[in-house]
Amino acid sequence: MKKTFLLLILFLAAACENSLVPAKEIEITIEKKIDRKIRVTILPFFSETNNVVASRELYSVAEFDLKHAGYFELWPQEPLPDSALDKGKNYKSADYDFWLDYGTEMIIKGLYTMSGTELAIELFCYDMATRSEFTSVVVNGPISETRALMHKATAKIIEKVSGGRPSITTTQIAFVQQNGKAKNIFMMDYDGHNVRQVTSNTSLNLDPNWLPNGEGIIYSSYFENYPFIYLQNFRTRSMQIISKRPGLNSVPDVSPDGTKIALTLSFNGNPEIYVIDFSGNVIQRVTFSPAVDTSPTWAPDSNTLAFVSDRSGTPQIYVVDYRGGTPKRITFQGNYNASPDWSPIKGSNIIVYSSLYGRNSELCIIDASSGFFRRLTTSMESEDHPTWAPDGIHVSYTLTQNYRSDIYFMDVREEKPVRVTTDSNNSSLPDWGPSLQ
Amino acid sequence: MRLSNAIITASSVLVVVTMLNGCCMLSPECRDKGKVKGDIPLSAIPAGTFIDPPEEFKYIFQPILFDYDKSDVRADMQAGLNQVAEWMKTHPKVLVRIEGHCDERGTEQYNLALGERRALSVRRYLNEQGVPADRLFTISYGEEQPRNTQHTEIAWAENRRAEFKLAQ
Repeated sequence: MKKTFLLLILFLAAACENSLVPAKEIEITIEKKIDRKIRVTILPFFSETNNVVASRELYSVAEFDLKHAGYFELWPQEPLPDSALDKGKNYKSADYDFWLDYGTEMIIKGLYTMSGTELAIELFCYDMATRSEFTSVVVNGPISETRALMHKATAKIIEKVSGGRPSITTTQIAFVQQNGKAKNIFMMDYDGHNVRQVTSNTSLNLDPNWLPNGEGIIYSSYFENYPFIYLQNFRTRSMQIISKRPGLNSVPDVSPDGTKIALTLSFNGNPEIYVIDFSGNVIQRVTFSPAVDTSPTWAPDSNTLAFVSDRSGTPQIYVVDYRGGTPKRITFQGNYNASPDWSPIKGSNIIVYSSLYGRNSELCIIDASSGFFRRLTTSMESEDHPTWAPDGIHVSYTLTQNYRSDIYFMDVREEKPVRVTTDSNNSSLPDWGPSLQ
Repeated sequence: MRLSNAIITASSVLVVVTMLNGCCMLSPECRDKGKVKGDIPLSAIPAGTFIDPPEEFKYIFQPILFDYDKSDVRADMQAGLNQVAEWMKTHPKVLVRIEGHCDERGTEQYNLALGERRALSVRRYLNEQGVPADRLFTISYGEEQPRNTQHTEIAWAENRRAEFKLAQ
């Protein structure tokens, strides 16, 4: 804690000279702002057993995690000479003078030990400015979970830098994958590895949404011929029916406090937003418009909802307190604004959504209180269905190019897309799971 | 004695009814009934399987087309729907499922709701022509089941539709 404080003080001091902004200060606003990042050098990890495959995998996980965490810049940009790489063996110290010459601000060295089916990873993180160890982390577990163990280790480093803001390295993304006419729900690590199937039937399974505790995924499925809502519980390994009303049961969104579900139901004769409990009972009908009302998303307070309605004549985003009140329109630019997702950061009013520009769907973020918005994508491809990561810095989304869809994510400050799914199936409708560190 | 019992029973029934009404006024589901003008609640989904209309009646059950991002029944579609309504009146045992579809533009989530609204709009029109609402069911497939898989204005116009399936 003291070290973090010291480091931040030094960052602040340095900020006067070379605008090194402390990562802790990250605040996502509508203005495009690229925070100064910490230049980090990761040295090859040392091991007595020197397993080449494991070394390479551990290194690539650490590199990907730090590169995309939102706080670091991998440094130096050109490859290091072998003499410099060799310094990884000496993980007990940092050779400060040597690395300061490279302009590095943080060095990460690592050691891993494999014995039987067990893997232990130790990472040592040195701060060049204070010439001291910033932090060190130890993780242990089965070799079969090599990637997950390294994700855990990097999460500890990142959360030390972020001042408690959750890291994404251990998170999962749920999504929909097409296979012929069927669409099924899958989940994967945020980096696209470790893909697992959640539903396996021959009908449409859509709109996966994580429980806030990560113990299950709620979704809509046509496998009983009509669109009903189900919950796949990973802990009990069971499937539970949530809503089976006549008409449409779709787009469920679980409140951040985990107590209720906002969704679209049409049993009363028109698609309206409702809030129900996990037994499927209606707690509150939210909308009363003869228009289409759909795609609800909860604010972090578990009381406010944003949703899409075409009550004005075109689909636009509205905000309302689910307990009552008149919906307030927040999007006025363009004639097709949809798929809102409210930032999970407590107190945040930032909503990411998709907006039609010509034939292409593009991503935007908007401040629900001021109405100021910023366009995040300007490509020739179509970007759609954004979902916030638990860090409130990244969004994942569907990118469609030549009628083929993949899952991507980006840091909303930088707007640089990172492709996550790489197989030949169409993948869409991502929902970024919680951080369970 | 019997009479007073009867009165007590009757008045308690009245109290219960009043209470139920009272609850009904309070519970959101009941309270909201009729709040949106023209909404006709859907009946429970029937057990029977809905199938394509038989060959000899296919000409009656032609797809009903919609404008982009619209769900109201177009004037040029009313004659076709009037035929459906007349046919249903002469075949009173047949149940009809209206399937709402959209073109590929717009979000999948919004299109699911739009497809449902198209189906409900056809249902309302048929009901206005005298077909009982409890014989009319809806389902939306959003943009998931295009009739024409091309990516042209012509394909999109064909895909913005409501189709009919029958059950007895």
